[in-house]
Amino acid sequence: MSEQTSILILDDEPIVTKRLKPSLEKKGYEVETFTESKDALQRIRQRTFDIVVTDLKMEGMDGMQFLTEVKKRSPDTEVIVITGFATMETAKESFQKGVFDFLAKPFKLGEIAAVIEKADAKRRGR
Amino acid sequence: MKILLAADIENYSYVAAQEAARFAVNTWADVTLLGLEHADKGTHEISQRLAKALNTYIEFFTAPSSPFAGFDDRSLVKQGDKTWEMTASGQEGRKKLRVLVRRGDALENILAQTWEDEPDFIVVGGAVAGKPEWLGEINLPQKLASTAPCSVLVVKEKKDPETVVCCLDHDHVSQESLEIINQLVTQHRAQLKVVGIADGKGLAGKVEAKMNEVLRYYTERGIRSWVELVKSEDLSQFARNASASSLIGLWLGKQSLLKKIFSKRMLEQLIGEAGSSVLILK
Repeated sequence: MSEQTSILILDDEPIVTKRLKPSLEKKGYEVETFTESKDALQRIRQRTFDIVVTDLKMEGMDGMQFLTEVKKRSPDTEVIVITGFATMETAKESFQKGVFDFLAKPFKLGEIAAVIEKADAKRRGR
Repeated sequence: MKILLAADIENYSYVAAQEAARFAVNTWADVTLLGLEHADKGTHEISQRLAKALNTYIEFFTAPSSPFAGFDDRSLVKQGDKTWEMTASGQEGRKKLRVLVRRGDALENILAQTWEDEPDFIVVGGAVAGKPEWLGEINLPQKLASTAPCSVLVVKEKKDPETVVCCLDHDHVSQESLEIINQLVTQHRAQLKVVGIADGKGLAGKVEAKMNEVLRYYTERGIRSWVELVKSEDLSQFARNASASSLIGLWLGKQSLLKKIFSKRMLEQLIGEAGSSVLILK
């Protein structure tokens, strides 16, 4: 990987961030994880990320508001939504807001890694 | 999420395909639709009836607004002696729908595809007693539920259950199974009942702690849920009663006492007699 791709992961379930971080770092990505949306929000105000992976249903600011904020600040950031409560409405709303992909839980590490790889390829191809 | 839908030409597969499509379209899951045909069809092309059934099932998935939209100019291409894969054009959808046909032993073929795809769960239709069964294989959904390495949803009818009843008897519950239940409860807008199984000494401490943890997990996520205790000797009757109107889930993990309570015969009986769908969680 020529230039390290930065990824922010936001999920209020620590088990999700704990699983994803080492696996993605092993693939050469720079990964920061958050379980509180307010902390993640503060971080995206400090710097931009190439890819953001966010859960939808969380305490405080929900994922839909968070991805809106990410896209407002950095339209080129590719956002991937992960959710344990998928509906057609939330999927449609996510895509209207410009997300790259929508993944329902459970998913295997290989599945999300493949989606991140595609998002990274799109970003690098610009 | 990945779903494997195994289907033949019978009505229970039609219903299972409708339910699997509804679930997959809402969750944007990747799907493999596995068509199954009897070994005595020889090595020639697949039967017109199966081809027609598969096309019907594909229509459930590919409405214009669906993540599987498109799938035109379909053609089944022979891959091996007893396998075919469908090619299609115009797949504008964002998610993957793969259509395959395997000829031969239905259970073996479903398990082979499961090892290849590693789905999060398998969807199969459950025949009503006395009606045609899976390519002559008696109790295929029941056998699959016992042997598959992942969770299995046996669809009995097209209905939104008001309650999802999940029976828990051990302290190891996989994150994947919790998430499958989340999605099912969301899909059906159902409430959730977590049932703990008590032996003569009451509920073991570890199981009680896990039940509370599971209850907290769901209530924190806004799912209407509560717990109930059932004595182990009353469980099979409880499950039979509950399965008349609720979607019933059984955690049959490696450490599960339910595996002992629900002997293979009782599991087969429960799935066979259930009025609604049964989810076997691994």
